[in-house]
Amino acid sequence: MRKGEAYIPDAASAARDARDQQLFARFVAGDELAFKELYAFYERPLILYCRHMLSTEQESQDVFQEVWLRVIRIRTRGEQVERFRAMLFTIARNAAINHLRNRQHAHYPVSLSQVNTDNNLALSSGGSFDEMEDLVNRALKRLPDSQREAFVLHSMLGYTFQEIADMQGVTMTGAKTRAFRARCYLRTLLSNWLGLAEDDAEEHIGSNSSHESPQI
Amino acid sequence: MKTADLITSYLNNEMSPDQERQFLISVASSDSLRLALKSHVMLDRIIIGQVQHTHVPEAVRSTIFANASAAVAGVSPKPVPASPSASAPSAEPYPAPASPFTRFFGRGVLMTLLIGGGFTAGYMLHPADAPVSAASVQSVGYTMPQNSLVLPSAPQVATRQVSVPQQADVAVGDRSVSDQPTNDRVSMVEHRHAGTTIRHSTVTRDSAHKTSTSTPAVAAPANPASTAVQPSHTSNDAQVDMQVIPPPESTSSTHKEQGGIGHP
Repeated sequence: MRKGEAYIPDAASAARDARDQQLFARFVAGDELAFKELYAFYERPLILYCRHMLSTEQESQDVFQEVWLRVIRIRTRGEQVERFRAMLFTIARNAAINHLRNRQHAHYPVSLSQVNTDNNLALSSGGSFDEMEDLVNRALKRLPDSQREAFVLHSMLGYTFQEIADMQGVTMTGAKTRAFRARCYLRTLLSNWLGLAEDDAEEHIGSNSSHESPQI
Repeated sequence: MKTADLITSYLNNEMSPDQERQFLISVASSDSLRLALKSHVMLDRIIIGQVQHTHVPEAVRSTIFANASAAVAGVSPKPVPASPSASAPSAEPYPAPASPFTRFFGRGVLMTLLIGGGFTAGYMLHPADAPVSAASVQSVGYTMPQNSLVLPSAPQVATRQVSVPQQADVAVGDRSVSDQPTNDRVSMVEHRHAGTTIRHSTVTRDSAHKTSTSTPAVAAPANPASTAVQPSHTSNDAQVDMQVIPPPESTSSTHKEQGGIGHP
């Protein structure tokens, strides 16, 4: 779906948008609890999005706070919002892009050989689940912004490809391709990592048996 | 069908039983497919873990809430009616916006009434030229706090420290009072009453030792209770032994001393 086309939400999205619109209207009318409810709904998805779009924790917290302050300013102007979630993540996306642009941050996709070098480093230190998670996070940072954003929005935050396409200004197929490529990249990375881990485990078992055989 | 699609359809339970059986056989026979399936599952686990364990620092949250509170408590925003949307049928209708004239005068009149009412009520309750009643003045008293009171000094009690007696001072007969030098004070009083000699020995000590000053010349009575008189009152650290010494001519008669120290 391109920008300007009619947005046809599904039933769940429509119910969520109606709830958010009602809460935001209450917040505009002066109900502070409505803002806290809205915040509770979108706290985790937004900070997760900021963390994956930006490099450091401090940057993500700055952008996270800036997004909510912009929401409060929108309320001060007395504007009404029909689709709060789309507005919230559009603000976050623009803030993150501005932040990256100001910092002259550049992302370069890495080749698989470089990733495999990282894998070997991770394997040499034990290969636990936390290390695997850290490896995925590092690999996500090296993805192109558009692929990383599509993957995070779809796989982590539950966005539909239609919503992602609307946000990124591409077709739905384009958004799906971006998310799919990111996922394939991460899965290949993990598969190589697991394969190396299994090879390493087999070698470890073989060396143990070779050490034990003379004793027997 | 690609491997990724196969895995996705298997995990989403979109395969028929035959397809699923065939897929599992392929997984068992192919290492690459097995690793692909494993990595897919691990990636999903990592994503779920990240979503669940994400949290925002409390400082950031409190800052945002403080800004929201300030915005709500500050200048009231211009109310805008909710836009009629087909996707929001349950949205509450927002009240129609008031005109600037109504808003200004509504707020101004309310503020004027509040301020004027406050002044009037204050003047009516406490007019400036009203006489001050004496009762109201008297009722306002200042009570000095108890901590600031100067208490009279405690009466000085003159205490005299008695020197440590020597063993020779308390030796009566062929028995000494104590074998150990203690910080005791021993006083002995001897009374004669109707031919009966009563010896009082008062031992004031810190320890709980008890000494007696009986003489072996006096035979012990058959019933000790009849001769050993317990004092009626003793001090905290004094013990008194009394012994009744019958006269030599009638050793059977005893005198019971029921009084305390100093009673004849």
